[in-house]
Amino acid sequence: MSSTKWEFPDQESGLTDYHSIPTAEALDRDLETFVREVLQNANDQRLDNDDPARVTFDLRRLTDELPEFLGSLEWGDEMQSPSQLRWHVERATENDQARDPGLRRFLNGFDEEELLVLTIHDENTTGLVGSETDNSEPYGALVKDFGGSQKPDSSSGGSFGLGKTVLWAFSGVSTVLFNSVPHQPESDHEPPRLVGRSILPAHEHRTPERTFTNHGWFGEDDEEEIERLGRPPSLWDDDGAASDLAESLCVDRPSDRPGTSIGVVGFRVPGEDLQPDPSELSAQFRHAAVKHFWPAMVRDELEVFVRTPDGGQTQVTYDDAPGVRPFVECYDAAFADHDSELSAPGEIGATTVEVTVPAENGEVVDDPTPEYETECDLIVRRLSPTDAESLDADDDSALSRNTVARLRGAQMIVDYVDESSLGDRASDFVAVLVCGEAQAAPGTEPSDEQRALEQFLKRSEPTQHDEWKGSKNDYLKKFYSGTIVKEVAALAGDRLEAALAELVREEVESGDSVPDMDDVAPVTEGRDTNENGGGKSAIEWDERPETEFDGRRWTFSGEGGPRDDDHGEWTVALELVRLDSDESTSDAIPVDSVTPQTAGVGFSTDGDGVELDVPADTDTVAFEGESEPVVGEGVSVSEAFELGLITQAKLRVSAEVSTGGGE
Amino acid sequence: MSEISVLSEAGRDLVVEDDAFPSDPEADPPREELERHVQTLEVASDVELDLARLHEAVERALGVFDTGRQEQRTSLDSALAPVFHQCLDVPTRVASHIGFWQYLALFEFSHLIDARWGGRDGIDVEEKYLGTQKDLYSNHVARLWWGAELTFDGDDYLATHRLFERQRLVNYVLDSSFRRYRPAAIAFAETLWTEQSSTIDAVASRFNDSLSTIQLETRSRTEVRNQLEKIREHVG
Repeated sequence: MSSTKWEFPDQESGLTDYHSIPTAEALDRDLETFVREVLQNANDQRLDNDDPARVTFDLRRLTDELPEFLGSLEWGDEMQSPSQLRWHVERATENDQARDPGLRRFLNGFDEEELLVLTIHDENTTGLVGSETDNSEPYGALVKDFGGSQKPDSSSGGSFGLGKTVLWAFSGVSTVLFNSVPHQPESDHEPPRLVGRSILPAHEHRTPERTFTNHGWFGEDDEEEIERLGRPPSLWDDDGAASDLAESLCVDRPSDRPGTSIGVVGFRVPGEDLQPDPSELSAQFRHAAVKHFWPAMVRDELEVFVRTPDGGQTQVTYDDAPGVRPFVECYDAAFADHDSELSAPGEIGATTVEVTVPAENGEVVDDPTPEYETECDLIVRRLSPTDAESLDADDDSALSRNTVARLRGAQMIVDYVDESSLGDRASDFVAVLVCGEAQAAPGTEPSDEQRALEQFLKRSEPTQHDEWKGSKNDYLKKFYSGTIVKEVAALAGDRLEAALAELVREEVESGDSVPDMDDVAPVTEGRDTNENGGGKSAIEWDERPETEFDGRRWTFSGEGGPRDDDHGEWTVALELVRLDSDESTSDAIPVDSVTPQTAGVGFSTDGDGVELDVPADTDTVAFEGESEPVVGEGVSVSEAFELGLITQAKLRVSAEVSTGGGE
Repeated sequence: MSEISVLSEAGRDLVVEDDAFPSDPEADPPREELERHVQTLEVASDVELDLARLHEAVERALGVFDTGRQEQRTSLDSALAPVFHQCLDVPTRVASHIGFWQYLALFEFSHLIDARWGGRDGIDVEEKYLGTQKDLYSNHVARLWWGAELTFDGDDYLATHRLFERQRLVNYVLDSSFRRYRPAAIAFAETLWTEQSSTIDAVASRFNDSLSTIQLETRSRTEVRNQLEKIREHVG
């Protein structure tokens, strides 16, 4: 029977490179990022057949099984040695230059009575193919070298290969185990293969002038191989050793299909509780999986399951993130014929957004692609009441009305772009922007243009693959010559907006006739009465002052009188004022005429406003008036809006009341 | 995580209360006292300030442009705005913090502000150092950066250069009514950069009025430009 051990290669002291922690890369370490990265890896490694990749999140809280688990992990006992993990972890927490506070917290809180392990099983995937020394294969890329990326084709999710460091960031002890059945077995070994990896701050060797490096390996204790590789090789199942060990380490394969089981030891969300609530985590896994991978689910390329400590296992469905439903409806219809108008709720329309893929730089790329003028597909759905309910049922603010989900061939949503600014004059909608290889109908080959766009967008994604970024993106600029920033930006900016507006914006202008003034007439407000000594208004209104726009000029009216019956002469000054963009008052609109409806009331104008002079024996006054025309002859109402002639306006009313019966 | 230096409100008050600076052209900012009112803020996003390159550009520009002449002062702004924008790589959240600009104005670029604005009648130089939280145009460093930020076209700074050709355009574009909306800012610079101040005022006022009924952010750059052209024709 083979035995296992931990081995941290060592170096001469003083090599500062070895003090850094790769997991400290600038990833947003929330659970959503974790789920995205994990599913993206599995989705990218899906085998080229008709079956979906299947991913199961399996969360176990170990209690009774913990001693066996720790024994199998070579965690360490009282008689510690450097072939055990605990020995290294304890020393690594003493490194002041590369402090990892999470590690210290874990050690302090870990009583060896309870441990959370998250295992992610993927099936129908390539598995960890490759020999110990071949960095070009998935084994080397996922387990061995950070910073490399080895994924099957141009539409894969990752460009940087850093995604996998997220696994270690979510392990309290920065340790991850892999048990894999490669789809092409190594000729002289029996699968599965098991290997573990720990990434810790560099720490002191027993010999003072030497230092243990960041990277620890858990594998077969084979002196010869350790000598050759500088670390233990993966443990194969040639004598059944790997299967048995995998079972006690919670990374046993759920089926004999190819794929990998990844065990995150001491699962935690960085910066949060050491003992997260499994049912809450489970709901978050489900939501994040659906939110980002529903396109792959729609195309039957990915199935996700979640298993909780109580033994329940259920498949993730759209119900876990109800807000995606309207988007799914859109995407479902992506390859059907559509109208270019959306006349009723629930209807789906399609248009395109133009994009020019710049030519690849021949100095960097062999066989560079030329510049392509191409387009992305924009599928838009006018929201039905059911859609609105689905969106409302989801707490996630990214899944809102008037949002565009963007994706490329990786079938993962890159981001949700808020286009609610269109909503003011449009019907509510959701949309999906389908780009690159995702534009090829299932079962068809992508065109050269689609491939080039796919590659362009993929290279524009930062490590987290959660946006397309052209500006300040040196990585992207290295590959292309020509317009880059503008083309990337257009897919979320001007061009996307214009394409959407074409489908969703409601017509409010129709030449000279304005059929429905209620829709377009400015909001009016008619109250602005001077306060009387900080108390109530001096005037009490029987009919509050109102303004109204009749298509050419403003009219206004009102009726009221002094609140205090014991009053002398009084005046009411009326002025129509425009409101500007900030709703603060702008210039006055000249009053053309006013008619006091009450006998004995005089009036005077000062050019802009008008003042009503009311005798002491009159208790109320009614008035009506109108402004000079604000829209000249030959100017249509729609033009008048454009020219700033028709604006919001209000009637400013001020009153002066002399008290005490005219004294 | 990055760190930026910002001047606190107490620091701002210190400048306001200072008798010599900036009213006396010979006086420097009271940096020693101000040091105590500089705070270091942690910001979540990456911030890169290439001050060495920026200082070099400022020195070179001050050697080329004659700040004694109005049109050359304008050209100085036009030349420097893109450089400030490129060398101060900060997210808009940081750029909205007036203390950040006050720090840069007082500690890094006081000689530029002095050359650009100092010793001229009717100019409130203090405002060019301090500005206010409410507007983007009073503090001179903020003015250069934001003017470029709002008119940068992704590829080029043509609209930025045009904007800074007319100081009045800068003020309008950086005013709150434009809501920091890039398509409108670019359209504004493109359409009006050759116009007289009186025309710019009249068009801006009408345009601002129209925004009480039009949602600016729903409009593309072309739509805004068409609208501005119509207004220009109407007021002209």
